[in-house]
Amino acid sequence: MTKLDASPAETVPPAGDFLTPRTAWYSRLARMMRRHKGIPVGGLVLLAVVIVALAAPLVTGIDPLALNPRGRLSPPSEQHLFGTDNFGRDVYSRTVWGARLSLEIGFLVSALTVLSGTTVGLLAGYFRGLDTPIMRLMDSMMAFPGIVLAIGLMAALGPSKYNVVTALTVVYTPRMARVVRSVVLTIREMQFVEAAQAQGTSNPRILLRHILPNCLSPLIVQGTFIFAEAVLGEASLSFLGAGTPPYIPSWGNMLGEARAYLRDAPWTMLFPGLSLTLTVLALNLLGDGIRDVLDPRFRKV
Amino acid sequence: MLAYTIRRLLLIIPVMLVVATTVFLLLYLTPGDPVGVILGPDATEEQKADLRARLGLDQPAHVQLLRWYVRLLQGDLGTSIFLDKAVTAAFLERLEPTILLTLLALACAVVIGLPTGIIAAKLRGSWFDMASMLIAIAGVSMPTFWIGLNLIFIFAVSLGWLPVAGYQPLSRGLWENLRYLLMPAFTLGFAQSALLARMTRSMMLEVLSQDYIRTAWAKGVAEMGVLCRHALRNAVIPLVTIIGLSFALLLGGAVISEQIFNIPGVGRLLIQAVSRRDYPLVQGVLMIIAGIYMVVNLVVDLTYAYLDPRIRHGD
Repeated sequence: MTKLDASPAETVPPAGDFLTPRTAWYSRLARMMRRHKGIPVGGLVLLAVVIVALAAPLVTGIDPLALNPRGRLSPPSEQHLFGTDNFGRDVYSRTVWGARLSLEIGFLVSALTVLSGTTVGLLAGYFRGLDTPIMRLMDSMMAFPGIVLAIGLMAALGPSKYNVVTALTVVYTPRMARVVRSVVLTIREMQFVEAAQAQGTSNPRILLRHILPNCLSPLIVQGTFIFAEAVLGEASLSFLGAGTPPYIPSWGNMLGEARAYLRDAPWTMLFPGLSLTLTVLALNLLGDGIRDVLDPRFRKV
Repeated sequence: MLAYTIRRLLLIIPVMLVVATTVFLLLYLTPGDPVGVILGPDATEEQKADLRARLGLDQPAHVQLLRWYVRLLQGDLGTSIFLDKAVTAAFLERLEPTILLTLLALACAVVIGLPTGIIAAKLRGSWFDMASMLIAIAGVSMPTFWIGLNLIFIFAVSLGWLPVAGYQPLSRGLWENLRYLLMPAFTLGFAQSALLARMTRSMMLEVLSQDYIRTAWAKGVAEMGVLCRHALRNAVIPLVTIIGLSFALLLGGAVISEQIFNIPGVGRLLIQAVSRRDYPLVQGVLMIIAGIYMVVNLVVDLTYAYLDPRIRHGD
């Protein structure tokens, strides 16, 4: 993770760069997309998932919660595109509504983790006195395997959508804090920070105006990866029965239930699993691409 | 080396203290009365008072916390409410499958990941490189439990080669044991092997661009010699860390794999404890897992420091 601490010196373009003619932003964008194919591919897939999730009530005709005991475990058909599950619920409409839940949780967790991780990282990195106590606290949170800590927190908080968000945010915050801290540690020693200090600029202002902007690229990269991991994390917790309550259509819940019907109804496992894999893959491709663009150290490899 | 080891060991103490406090506080995060949650709505006041006394919840918070520390130092992690036995005993009973599963998964990850990464780096830009790196990123994105469900569908339900789920202890024979652990271990190890392949590839590429590799080529060292003796040896130091860390990660992932394949391991014990709201068991298992996790990470760091002297002298 320490690979992400790009110092600003490296982001300055090489000396010969001003000799090359300025190109329009769209041709530069096109070149970037061609070089890092993960960004357009991942971006498009993700966009499709977002649109489907937002339009969930429009693209599904059947209530994802509607039970139909007579039509249980029926294979994919015209009426039920992805078949039905053990309660006769429509798998297609549950998969679509599951996308909504996954994206909602992924977005909330990554936004909250960026917020908390940045706050903690800035404080630990900038104020020497706070560094040791804060980082020891972060170490102790990283002393658990992530999923195990999340399960423990869910055990205490009880199953609910927002408790999943809380638990996953707590699990991912230390990692984000570490990345931000490592950037702050190098920036803090730069001359422009020293200059600001000498001018008597207040600490909050230095942190927000001078140091925070330099943390932006690792924040974007980590935020994307944490989005992906949160989607997986929610699904894992729900699969284990320690996530969102079972009646909510979530990919993890669906897969957890599908486990008992593999022989009779493999479609209950196939579609939510494919959607989950595709979404996480898109986010990871996007994250990889963004990292290659923003972190010059990876450009050559 | 000794000084470094001692310093690292001393660093564990504050972290362990915070871990113990966090685990203790979990019970207090529960909204409402934990005793009411454990016993359900039908419990009488008498039963509640009884359980409260058993858990020590009738004491003031600071007394409870101190007792928890003292008990931890004595190696006493409390008694499970539902199993009615010591947490440590319940844990030890479930340890064998988890350890075997994790080790086998690690073996899977190394056997698949390391050669793939080396070959991909050697044949950089070839179809093999492209294909394996594509599979690797897909492998990182695929949820463990979905891989597991697919494997069960293919190899157990459709082909009938391997048992659907369950576990046979090692005492029933190695083959019997392996038959049940093969799919769970592959499921668990696959994502790690993908990660390992990507890491190995980028480490090897970094090393292969060094001057001394060119020198080795120039003086006529055979291809295998350059790759294995010169390049791999230098790429191996960071890889040791990654392999060690993946052992720790696999320990967490085992929870999921055990749940898919109905393996009576530590992970299932934890999940059962959570669903039954058996708080002492949850706390105890969390404590032991955190302890093991920290020891593994410490051993990895020490190995790293041993292999690369720059680590212990720097800092």
